[in-house]
Amino acid sequence: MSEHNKQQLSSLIDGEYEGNNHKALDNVMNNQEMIATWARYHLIGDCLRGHLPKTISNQVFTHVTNVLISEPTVLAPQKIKTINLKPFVGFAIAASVAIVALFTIQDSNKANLSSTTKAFATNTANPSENQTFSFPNPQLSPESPRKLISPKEIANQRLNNYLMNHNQYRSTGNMNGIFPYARLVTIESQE
Amino acid sequence: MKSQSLCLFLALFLGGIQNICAAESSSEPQVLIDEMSIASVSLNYDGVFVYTIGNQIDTLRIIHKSDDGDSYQRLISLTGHAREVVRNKDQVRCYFPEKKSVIVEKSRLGKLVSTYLPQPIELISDFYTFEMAGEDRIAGLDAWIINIKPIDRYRYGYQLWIDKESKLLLKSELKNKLGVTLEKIMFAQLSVLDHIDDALLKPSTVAEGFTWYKNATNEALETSVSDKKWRANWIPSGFSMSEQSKEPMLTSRIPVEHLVYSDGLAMVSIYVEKLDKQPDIVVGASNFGGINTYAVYTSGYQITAVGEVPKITVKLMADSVEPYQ
Repeated sequence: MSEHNKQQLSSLIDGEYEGNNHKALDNVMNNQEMIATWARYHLIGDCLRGHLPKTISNQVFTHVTNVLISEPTVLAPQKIKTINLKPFVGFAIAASVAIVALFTIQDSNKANLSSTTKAFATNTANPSENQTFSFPNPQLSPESPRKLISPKEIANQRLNNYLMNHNQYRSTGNMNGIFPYARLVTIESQE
Repeated sequence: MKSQSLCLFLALFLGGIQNICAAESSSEPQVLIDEMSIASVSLNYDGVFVYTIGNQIDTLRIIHKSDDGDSYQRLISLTGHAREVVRNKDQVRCYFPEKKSVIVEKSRLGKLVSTYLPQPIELISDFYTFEMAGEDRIAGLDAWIINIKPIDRYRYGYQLWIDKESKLLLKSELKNKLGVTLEKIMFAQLSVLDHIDDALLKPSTVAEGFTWYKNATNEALETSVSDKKWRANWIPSGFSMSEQSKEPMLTSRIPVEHLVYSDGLAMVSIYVEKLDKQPDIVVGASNFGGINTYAVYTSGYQITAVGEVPKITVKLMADSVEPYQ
């Protein structure tokens, strides 16, 4: 069984599968190896949660399958989706795109931000000193950067800002303070 | 608990006493985690670790200095672009040499012990089980292995490898409920040092001509038209709101409402941003390693939950957010 199938199974069991659940379940039920892996994953999950009984019959799967076969088919109406999801491409990609977008704003507005850029140049003359820096507010520019990048890029940029902000909090209150900035530093290789 | 913490704290600084406490603590995972938290901010160290997320593997170097209770840290990417993150008590600077840019954020590193420790371990113990899982050897150092398993499906588990001598974290894995590793760090080399030269904490990136980005201060921002206060009406048991603030964001003129919920180990941020009549609204789920996000849009506001918890948790929390004033 491929790694992709294993990940698909894992996300199905976690309730985190992004695709068509019915089709994915059909794929599982048509493949004996995937059925066995499905059962094994559930067994592992029950074990980790301490939900296993003291003894388990190895005939349980057969019994359940027989019961299901003998049950009448229920023609239930399809579940109505209350939220029309439009999943992000993926946070890794979103974050990297966001960083690119962030810098695109600056590059695209260099002409309009000449006075601000000079101030930065002064500030960057001696970066080892404690300096005061300010982000040039895009909406104050003659040409709004929102017109220069797509709505999707702006949305991704917003998500990236949330990630950075969350990481700031995360890095102080948790024993794994390394994780947040490791994420930031390694985003580049996914660009 | 206070006297125990004091004992541990003193033990780390008074080497002679350390061995006595260590001998008693070696079989208590909660005590070891307390010791690890203290060691991570109180010791000087220089190490190289591997960071794995999905199929991606990167190598980074970390240099940490403790000086009079303050922490200073430098993180350097050894693979790909030579990005760096330099932190002190006031500021975090992220250097992106390939973009000739530096992002400056406010540092939230605090004084030793008072802010860095996780929530009291006895509170966390209600929602996670702790167990010693054996011994191992990481980066040439002998380590204890600790499993931290969540009691429900709303949080992730951890497996930690802690150096028996220094109590520093040598390896950490974030795991979902099936035991699948979502993120991992592992030291390949780690040295605990008496002294760290300040020169090692300065960025090697020459930021000449770089563009510096910093979040605007609150004073420079427009105040929100709405005085609405927000809260999540559903949170997993054991979670509580640890902070509520308005955060300046690079993409927003109006400070974004930020709610922080934590069970002492896992943390979820909820951002509420007014996005009336804007075309850049995205809703739905996304994930990046151990982080899941979920965004919904309601009555002109985008609500986004971000946290190192399963997707189901951020979804339920985001869906439950409502104004209460």
